[in-house]
Amino acid sequence: MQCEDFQLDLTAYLHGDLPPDRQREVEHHLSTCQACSEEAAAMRDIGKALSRGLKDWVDEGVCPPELLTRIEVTLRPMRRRAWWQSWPAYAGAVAAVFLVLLVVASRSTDLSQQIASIPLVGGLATNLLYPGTDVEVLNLTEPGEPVASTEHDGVRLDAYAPALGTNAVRIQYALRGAVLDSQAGRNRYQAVLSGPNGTIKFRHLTIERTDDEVLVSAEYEPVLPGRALTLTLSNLPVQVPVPPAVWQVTINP
Amino acid sequence: MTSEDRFFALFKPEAGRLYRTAWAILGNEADAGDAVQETTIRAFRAFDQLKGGATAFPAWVRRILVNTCTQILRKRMRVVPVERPEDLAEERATPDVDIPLGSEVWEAVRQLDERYRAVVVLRFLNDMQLEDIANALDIPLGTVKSRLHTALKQLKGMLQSDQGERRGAV
Repeated sequence: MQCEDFQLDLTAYLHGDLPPDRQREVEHHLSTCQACSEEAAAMRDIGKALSRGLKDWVDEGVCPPELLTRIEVTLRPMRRRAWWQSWPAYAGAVAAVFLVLLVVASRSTDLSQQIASIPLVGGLATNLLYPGTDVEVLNLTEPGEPVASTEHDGVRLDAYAPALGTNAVRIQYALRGAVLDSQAGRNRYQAVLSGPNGTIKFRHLTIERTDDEVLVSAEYEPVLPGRALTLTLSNLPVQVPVPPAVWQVTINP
Repeated sequence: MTSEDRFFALFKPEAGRLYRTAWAILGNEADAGDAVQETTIRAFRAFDQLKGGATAFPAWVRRILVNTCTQILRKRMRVVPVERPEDLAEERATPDVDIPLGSEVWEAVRQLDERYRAVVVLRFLNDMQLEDIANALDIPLGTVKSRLHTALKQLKGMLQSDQGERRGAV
């Protein structure tokens, strides 16, 4: 075996990375070959210099402020998602607690509705305890069938089931008829939502206008589930009672 | 303190070291920035899985960074069409090498061809075993050895000449 073959293994040898047989072979060669022995010493020194020099250089490093800003901006939406990402971890525990509670509870329809109105786990719990019950999660982008309708002065108002979240109650309603002729501003489509204790504070709305309808998605301050609500468009004027807001879930027993 | 706050409290003191480690492996600051950003996202997502708390964080996040960087290197190396033969030019060994300053070492290392620089940095900065370097870069162990051997020879020449210049300048 030539010196070059040993020299290729010197770095591995110096760091004990070689298999024991090869380690002994290289060691024996170094004890008999002065050139390779000097080469090994040089490699050891240069390796130490590199290791120390590179580590010192890295330790002195400063991250550019613009990179830190970029990272924070990138992580911001993830930070908002973090709660939802961690939610499934807790969902099992929450579901277990509900199941224990439900074992001692009666099997009334009212109770099934309350269970189903619990976010995320409600539907599962209802299906487990009330087999055959149809639990449907509302999708605000596709409202399905209206839950209440009314017509006045050629304006038709169709209201869809309100959905309650932890921070807001959202309701969609469609306006058809004479209202479409109007070029009035968005305030004209803003409905007043009221409950047993009076008007619920309005937050904002979005409007989708097509050839035959105006679809409005409006958001209000959260309300307690199970309270009767009324949707009023005072500017038109039309008014329709809507079913109580539930936790984004409806039940069809 | 939320887990996000805890993450940033641990991450920020490491950011400078992570940035330079990525720079050393990848060879330029733009790619280093991208690698640190990608590492932060990965680390943030996996932060709940970190075992060992604050003490384990620096080594943990550095491992993620090295993995991210070697992935980038592997992709980069795949687009090199022909593997150049390793330079095995003989040089006379001289055992007495002074320890140069950190920035001088980096100035020498950054002049190496990328394939040599990567193995040198992974070996001497990140203390990786040669076999692990081979796996990380997806190259044979023999190639790692020969690149390291060549790189050390080149570096020895560069660092000695730097020091010769410094001595001459005094």
